[in-house]
Amino acid sequence: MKVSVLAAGSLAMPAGGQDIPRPTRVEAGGWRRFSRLARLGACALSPVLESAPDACRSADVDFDRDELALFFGTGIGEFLSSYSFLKSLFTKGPAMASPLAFQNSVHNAAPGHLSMAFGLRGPSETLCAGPLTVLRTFERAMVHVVAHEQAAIVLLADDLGADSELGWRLAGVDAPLAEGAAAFLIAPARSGSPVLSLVEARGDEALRSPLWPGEVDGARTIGCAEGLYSTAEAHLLAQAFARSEGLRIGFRGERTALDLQALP
Amino acid sequence: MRAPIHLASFGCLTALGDLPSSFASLCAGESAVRIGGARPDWAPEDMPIAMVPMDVSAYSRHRTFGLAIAALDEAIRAGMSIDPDGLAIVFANTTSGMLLGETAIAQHLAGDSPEVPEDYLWNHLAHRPAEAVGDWLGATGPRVVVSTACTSGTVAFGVAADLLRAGRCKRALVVGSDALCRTTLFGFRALGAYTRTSCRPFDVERDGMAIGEAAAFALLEPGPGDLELIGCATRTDAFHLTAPEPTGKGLVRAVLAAIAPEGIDRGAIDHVNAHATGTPTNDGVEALSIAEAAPNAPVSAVKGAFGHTLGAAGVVEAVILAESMRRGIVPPAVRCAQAIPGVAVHDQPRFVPQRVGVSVNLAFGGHNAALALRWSGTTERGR
Repeated sequence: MKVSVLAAGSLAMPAGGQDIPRPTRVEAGGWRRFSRLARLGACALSPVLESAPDACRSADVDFDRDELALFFGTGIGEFLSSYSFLKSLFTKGPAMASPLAFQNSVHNAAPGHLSMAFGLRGPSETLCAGPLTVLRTFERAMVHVVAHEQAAIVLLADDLGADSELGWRLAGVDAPLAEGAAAFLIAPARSGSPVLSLVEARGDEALRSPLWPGEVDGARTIGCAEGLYSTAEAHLLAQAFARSEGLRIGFRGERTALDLQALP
Repeated sequence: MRAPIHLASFGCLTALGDLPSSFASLCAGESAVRIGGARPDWAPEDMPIAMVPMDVSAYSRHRTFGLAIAALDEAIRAGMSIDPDGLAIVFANTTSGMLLGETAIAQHLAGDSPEVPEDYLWNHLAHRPAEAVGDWLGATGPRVVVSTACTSGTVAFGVAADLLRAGRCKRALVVGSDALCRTTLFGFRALGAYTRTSCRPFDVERDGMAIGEAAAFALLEPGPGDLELIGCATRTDAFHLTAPEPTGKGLVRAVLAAIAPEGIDRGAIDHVNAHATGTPTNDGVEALSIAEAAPNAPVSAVKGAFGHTLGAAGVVEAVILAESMRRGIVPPAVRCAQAIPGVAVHDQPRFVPQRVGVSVNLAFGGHNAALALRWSGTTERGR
C-alpha cells in the first residue's frame, strides 16, 4: 500500500516542560486553553496546512477543509491533563476539580482544539497503539486515502512533563525522554512526489523503536529523537521527507514497516 | 460497489445484563441508573450511576479490560466462535486502566510511593485494553484503540471495516468498554453536565447525564450477511470543545456520509438510535439534526436505561440497534416522560420492520459520528 507525501512538518524537543512557540495562525485565547499535546500538534500541523493548498493543487487533489480527514495518533495521550484534573480533585476536593483539565483529558482533545484553530471540519479519528501508534495511524490513514481517493492529514504527538516522566521511571523505562509532534499531508500515490509505503519487513531490515535500544538486535539504530515514544518514528519520517531521503522503520514485535522513499 | 461486510456475532454486558436481558429490560422500560444501589465505595451516594453488578476481577485487575473479556467469555461459552488468525482488535475506550491509575496518583500526591508503580502511567496508557483482549483471544491481526471520547465506539466500526476491505486483517472484532472511575464521574460534575435526578433523554425537563459502565462487541467479517455494516462516517464541528454546534449540521453531514456509499436516501432510514445524553444542550441540538438527517425515522435512546457508557457507548448502541433490527422492535426512550417537540421517541416498544438503521454519537472535540446497518434477514418479531 502506497501513498504520496505532499508536505510534512515536525517538532522535537529534547526535554519536556519547555515553552512551546505559538504558531501565528493560532489565536492567543485558544492557545491558552490548549493542552500541551495540542500545542505540540499545532506546531507540526501549522506549516503543513499552510503549504497544503498549493501542494494539493500541484498533485491535482482536492483540498477542502470540510472533507479533509485528520488522523491523530498518540501513544501517551492526555496523561498530563488527566494528572492535572486528578490533582485538583484529590487536593482541592470535587467542588474545585478543574473542568478545563477534565475536558482536555480526553485523548481527542488535541484534534478538537486543532479543528477549531485551523477550521478542519472533516473526519477525525484518534488512534492509540502504544509503541505501534505511528504504524497503526499511518495504516489507518493510508487505507482511508486509498479507499476515498482523497488527501488526509496524519498527526502524531506525544508530550512530556515532570509528572509523566515520573510515570515512565516508575514503569522502569530508563531511556532518554523527550517530546514532539509530526504532521504529514498524504494523498493517493502519484509520480513525482515522495512515496510512503507500508511493507512487510524482512529480518534485520526491520528497525525498532529507539525507546528500546537494547532490543535492536544488531539492526541499524536510529540516531536521534530518542524518547519521543511512538512519535520518534514520525519525526524521523518528516526529517527524511525534508531531506528527500529514503528511510525504513520497523516496529517492535511486528514484521510490518513504514518505508519513506523519495522517488524521481 | 464496495465489498460487503457483515456482523457475524454481537453482544454486550450492561448494567442490565447480557444482550437478551438488556434488550428485554430496555423494552420493559427498566433503568439501571439509580441513586444509591450498587456502586464503588468512592462514588457519592447522591450521584446516579449504572454499575454492572458483576465482579470481573478474575479476568483482569483492570475493570475496563475485565468487563470486555467477561462479555466475550460469556458469548463464547454460549457458542460464539472467534478465529484468532488474522483477527484485528479495534477497541473503543476512553479511560483504559484509569481506575487503578487514580489510586496510584492519589498515593503519590499524598507523599507515598504508588503501591503498584506501573499503575501511575503505564497501565492506563490508551492501548492497553486492546492488548489485553488481543492476548486473551490470541489474536494475530492489528490491534488499535480508538479514543475519540463518546464517539469512540462508532468510529471503531469504521476503522475495522476499512482494515477488512483493505485486506489488513481477515476478520475484525470491534470491542467497546469503559468502567466507572473518579475522573469521568467528577469530571462531568465539574462541567455542570451531571444530572441531579436521573438521565432523561429528550425529556423536556432533562437536567443532565448519568454515567454507566458496559462492554460490547461485534465481530465483523467480509462478505454478505443478514446484517451488514453499510457505512460509517465522522465529521467535526470546529466550534467548541465540549458543546455541539447549535444547528447540528455536523451530525447531519456524518449521517448522510454514512449512508452515501450505498446510495441510500435519508427518507429510507427506518430507525435512528440517538446519542441523547440527557443534557439540555446535546439533546436539543441532536433533535434538530435527526429531524433533518432522518425525517421519517422512529428514534430510540438508551442512556436512560444503561447510563452513558462513554467510550463503549457507540458499540453498545450499535449492538442494541442490531438486535432491534433483528427483532423488528424499536425500544422506548426510558425515563422520557414528555419528549421535546419533533423527536419521534415513545414510551413503549414498537414493532417496526427495519431495513436501514442508523446509530449516532457526539463527543468532546466537536466530533460527530454515524454508522448505518442494513438488515436483510427474517425479522424475529416479538422474540
